[in-house]
Amino acid sequence: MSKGFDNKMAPPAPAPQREVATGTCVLGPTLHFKGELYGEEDLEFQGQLEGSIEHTRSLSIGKDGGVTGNIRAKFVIVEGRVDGDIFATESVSIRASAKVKGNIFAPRVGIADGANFSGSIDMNHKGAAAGTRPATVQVTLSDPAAERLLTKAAG
Amino acid sequence: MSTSNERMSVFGPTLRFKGELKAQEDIKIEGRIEGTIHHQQRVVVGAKGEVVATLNAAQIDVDGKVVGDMSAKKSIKVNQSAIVRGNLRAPSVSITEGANFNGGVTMESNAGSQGSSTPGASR
Repeated sequence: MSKGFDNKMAPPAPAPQREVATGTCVLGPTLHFKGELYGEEDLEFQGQLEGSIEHTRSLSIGKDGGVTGNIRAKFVIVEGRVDGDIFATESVSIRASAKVKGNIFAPRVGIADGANFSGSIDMNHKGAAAGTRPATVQVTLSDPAAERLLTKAAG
Repeated sequence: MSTSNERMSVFGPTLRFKGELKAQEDIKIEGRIEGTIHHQQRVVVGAKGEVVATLNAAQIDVDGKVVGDMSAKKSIKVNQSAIVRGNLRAPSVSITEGANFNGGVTMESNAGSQGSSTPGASR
């Protein structure tokens, strides 16, 4: 009888944790990489890496993680140590437990209170957008007002 | 198979790495690694995994593709879906029927010393 009761009360299948559902790949704390790492999936890095990371999606450097080298990704979340420049096309988030030594190039940057950061931040870096955005000058040329001005100047 | 091992790191299918990898925990490789792997524990090359590297570990299970020499302190298992080109060196080596394997096999307990054998000696 308790079985039927349970069935009635049972919620519709518990939603799996988001991190697991999206298949975030986790690289453990004893991993030591020396070289170049490329990836196209969300990655949580807890190991040590000497070299460069080139990533097209979200990359998080965990508390135990350490990177010596440059990082390129869409989103970068740092909770561990980074010695090197960080380039992100979307955003960089430096968490309270992070230790970062290097420059950050990203349109949006957040540094939490308590984080250790030394370096410079550039939010208008062209390379941050990886050349995906065309120059804004073109807009004014097709603008009727600008065209009028140009013809007036010519005439 | 035993994908949900307690704490196995998974090197995901879109990850590519070129260089030297060292680790002291079990890892499953579903991506592509070029270079060398020095491992203290178990390495599983998943069905989607591709390794072009010299592989050293305690135990190696291959379901995917490996080009390079492998040496293990305990055992090497080449499963049915595997494609392997290289020499194997371990106290215990098993190759499942259906696997594609080209290379030499040396069954010795001191898998650590590599210098003593010439590649392809068993052929």
